[in-house]
Amino acid sequence: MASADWSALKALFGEALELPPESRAAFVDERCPPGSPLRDELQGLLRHHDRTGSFLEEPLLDLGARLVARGRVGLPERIGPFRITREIGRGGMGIVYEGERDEGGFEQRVAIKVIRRGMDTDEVLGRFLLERQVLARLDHPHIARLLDGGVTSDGRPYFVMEYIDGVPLTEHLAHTSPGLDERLTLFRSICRAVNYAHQNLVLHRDLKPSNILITPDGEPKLLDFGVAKLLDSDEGSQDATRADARYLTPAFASPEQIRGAPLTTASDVYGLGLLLFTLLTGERAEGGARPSATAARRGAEAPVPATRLRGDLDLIVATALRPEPERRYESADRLADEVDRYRRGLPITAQADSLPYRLRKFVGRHRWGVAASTLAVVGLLAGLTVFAIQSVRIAGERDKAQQVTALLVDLLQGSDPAEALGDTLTARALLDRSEARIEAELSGQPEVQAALMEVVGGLYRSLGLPDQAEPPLRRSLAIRRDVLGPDHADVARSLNALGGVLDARGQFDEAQTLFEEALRVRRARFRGPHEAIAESLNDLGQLLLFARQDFEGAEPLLVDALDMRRRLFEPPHRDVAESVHNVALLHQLQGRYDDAAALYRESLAMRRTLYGATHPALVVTLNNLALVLQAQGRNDEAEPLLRESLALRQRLLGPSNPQVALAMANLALSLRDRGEYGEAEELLRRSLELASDGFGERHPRTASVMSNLGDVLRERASWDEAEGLYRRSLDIRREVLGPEHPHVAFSLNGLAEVARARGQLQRSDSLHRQALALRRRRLGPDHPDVAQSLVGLAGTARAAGDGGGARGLLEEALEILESRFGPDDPRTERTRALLDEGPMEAGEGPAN
Amino acid sequence: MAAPPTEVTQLLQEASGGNQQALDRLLPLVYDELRAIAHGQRRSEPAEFTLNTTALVHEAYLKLVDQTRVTWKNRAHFFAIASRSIRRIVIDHARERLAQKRGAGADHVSIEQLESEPLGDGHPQTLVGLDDALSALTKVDPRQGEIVTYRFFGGLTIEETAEVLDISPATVKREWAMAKAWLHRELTRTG
Repeated sequence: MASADWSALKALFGEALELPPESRAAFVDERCPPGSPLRDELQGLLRHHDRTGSFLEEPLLDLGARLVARGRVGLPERIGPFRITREIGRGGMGIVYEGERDEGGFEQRVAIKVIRRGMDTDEVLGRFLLERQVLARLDHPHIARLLDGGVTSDGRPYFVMEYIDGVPLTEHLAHTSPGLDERLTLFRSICRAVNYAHQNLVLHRDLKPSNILITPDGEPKLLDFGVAKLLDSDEGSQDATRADARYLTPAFASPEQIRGAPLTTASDVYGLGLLLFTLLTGERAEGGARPSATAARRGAEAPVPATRLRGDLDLIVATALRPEPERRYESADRLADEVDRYRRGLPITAQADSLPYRLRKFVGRHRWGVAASTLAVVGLLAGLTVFAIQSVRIAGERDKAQQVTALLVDLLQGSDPAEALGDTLTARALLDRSEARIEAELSGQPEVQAALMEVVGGLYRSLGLPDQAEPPLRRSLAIRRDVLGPDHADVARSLNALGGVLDARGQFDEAQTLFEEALRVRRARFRGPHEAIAESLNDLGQLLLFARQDFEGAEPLLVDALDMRRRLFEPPHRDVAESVHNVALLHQLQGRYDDAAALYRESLAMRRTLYGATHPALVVTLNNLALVLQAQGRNDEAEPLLRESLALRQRLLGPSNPQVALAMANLALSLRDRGEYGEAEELLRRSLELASDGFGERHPRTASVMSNLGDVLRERASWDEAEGLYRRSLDIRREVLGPEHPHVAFSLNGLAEVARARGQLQRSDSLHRQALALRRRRLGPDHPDVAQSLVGLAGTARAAGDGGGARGLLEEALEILESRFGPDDPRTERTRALLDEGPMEAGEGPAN
Repeated sequence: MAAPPTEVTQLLQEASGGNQQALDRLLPLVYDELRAIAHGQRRSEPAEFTLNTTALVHEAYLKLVDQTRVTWKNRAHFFAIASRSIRRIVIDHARERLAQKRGAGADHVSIEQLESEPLGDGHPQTLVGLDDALSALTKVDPRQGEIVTYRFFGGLTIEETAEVLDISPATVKREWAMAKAWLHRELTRTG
């Protein structure tokens, strides 16, 4: 081609590019009519221009160098304290390396993401420092942990993450072609992990298949939680949670993300919807396509046949992908529940009513926007209360008011201060104010008022303030009974909530009546298995079990609740974990320790999966499992669990919460059994203080701590103080739990031992016999506690010189222990040793 | 045998100023250095690792150039020069590979291979085909040839390319688009 022609061609090509693509044909016709020399050339170039796509856009530089040298050239030697061993991959945000460091003798393997140039280092780092604690708190089996961050020697920010040995989700699907059920199982695990992060006030913001790795044992791991936010350059003000278009992956962005609108949990729900689409069809969701349509198009290639997707699964995906955030599933958990319902053949809830747009917008601006701290939670509470009250007033409509309420209830429960490691004082001040405002300002809206009172009561309760919780809950119940009549489902809710608080305060008679009433209403209103019925069964069963030690009454209720929940939900599920725990507790109290330990382990595993390592729900299960292990004589296994439980409680609830008292008491028991009386006594004294303050002086739990302290003081020969404590505990237990409660026997036992030490042998004998009779009546003749009484009685008999009587009693005890625990159990062996001779000893059971 | 930094820096400054002789002397120095780094590393580390070439060129730059005496413009020029070296290294390697498996397949280029990632060892003919087409383009339009070399082989941005060539970024964009369309057409031609 002549150089003049080439120049002309260049000019024409340049001009054509300035035009919108659809006008270019006309441009060619005008400037190069058919027959012109350059026409074909220009048309050809334009046609190829349209097809170039990413052709040559990715520089060969890297590829080329890969050809010439397969060395470590270009790999940084170290980043921060880590040796770099290889490049894992690269993407829009930067390069990911594998690194390792030798820390305290063991190799730590990590993935290090070095952010590409062009992102503002100072800002990214500043945000990282702000967010680090929040992100480090994400401790969940399906979330890759963020460990650290910093700046490389050439000035680029980097993040250090847990190294995951796994393959990207899409690759996993392509290689293993799992069936529908396996795909849904993966998906629900992902949803639960996302929900866990949401509860910890972290949005993912960039959910997509490449951010999910599947480990060799088939478990998903989510990468880059919260990292998107760290890189967001528009994060100027603290309350903007916006997307940055620069690194967004458009195919996986929600409509509000593309608009640059504030992001909420609903944006992650959208991301989950896209993910579900990909899991079901093997393709990306495009332009509102239904999964079944995509599967139909792919025919035999489709991983799941269209016929199975049509209907429910199409609807679930469509609901998660609704353009309006407020019309999607309310939370990742709800989406997971929905998938579970589908899997068990239960009707799905999609198309259910959703909340008004305006409200969701408010929430979007405030829920996650502020720095994820306790202050945010408190600010949110305040903002929402005011907002809800205003909205209800403005709306003046019953329906809307109910919706406001539903929203508020949902949100406040989501930001339970106990879970957010709350600042008790501030949250409490806020609650004190809101209660008065609800009373004063919503008198014309009784149903709203009742719902808000219920929320406030629930929050007091989770702050460990059951006394404060009672009045608003009573108010809520009274209003609802008045407005709705006695048999309304909301009345049952209030009954159950109030029952829970009274149960926690030790007012068991009224609590039981309330639970029974709630169960009756719910059974009449709902047919078949229902989560509300399961809740009432569980709560009532729990009360009978713990407060009444009525195993026969509790067992069918707790077992029914567990069955129902297993039918309703796919484990791991919070309700199933609760019921498994309670049935374990039943077995624990029945002395069926092997069954109890197995169930506690199941519940603990579920709870660790659901909640991560730092969550209130873990504490009690840990604690009880430890007690069962103690009862089985496995003190070495129990002690670390008890220490974990105590540390967790102190961290979650603050050092002076009464729950901390129980953990201390139980650890103290373990120490006592190992003969470390000094530390045990110290712990129990602190525990007693906390319990008296928190539960009250006359609470059964306070009584348990008292008699435990008495046991330790007896070991240290402080007879007077021990006796005083036993007397007080006996008095409380008889009054609060009733004279026939098995705990009464602990106090009697302690008094009997003190009496023997003082040489009051008749009195000791009589007290032991009372305890023994009570235990036989209430626990059955073969319960280990019966053996304990027999051993105590034998000690007194021996002290009185009745060696033969003592022998008979010990043989009887030995028989029980051997059949319960086997001949080689330490307790059996100890008792056998007593048969020969040696000091007599009787201990106290656990606080629980 | 590496050239002393002062010499390279001097040459670089002169080349940036438009001195063709300086450029001609600089090119082999950079080329040798890149090869030496790459191969030295390969010897010391036999395991298969991927390579970040931006870092490779950066390393060569740090070794060859006295940092206190150069400007950002000089740096852009250095990267431009390195692009040409990279092109030679890559293409030489690809031709070598092709010779080794002579007769193993028709010497035609698949455009899909250029559009997706596997432009590696497995497709030397694709690279050789691209290099041939690029040489042909350079005959018609030397500046477009340079732009492609810098952008595709060297990874320079539009702005850096504009700086090296001393033209406006808008011009680079236009020329780049046309060069890509031209090469695309060449490479999709059958036969």
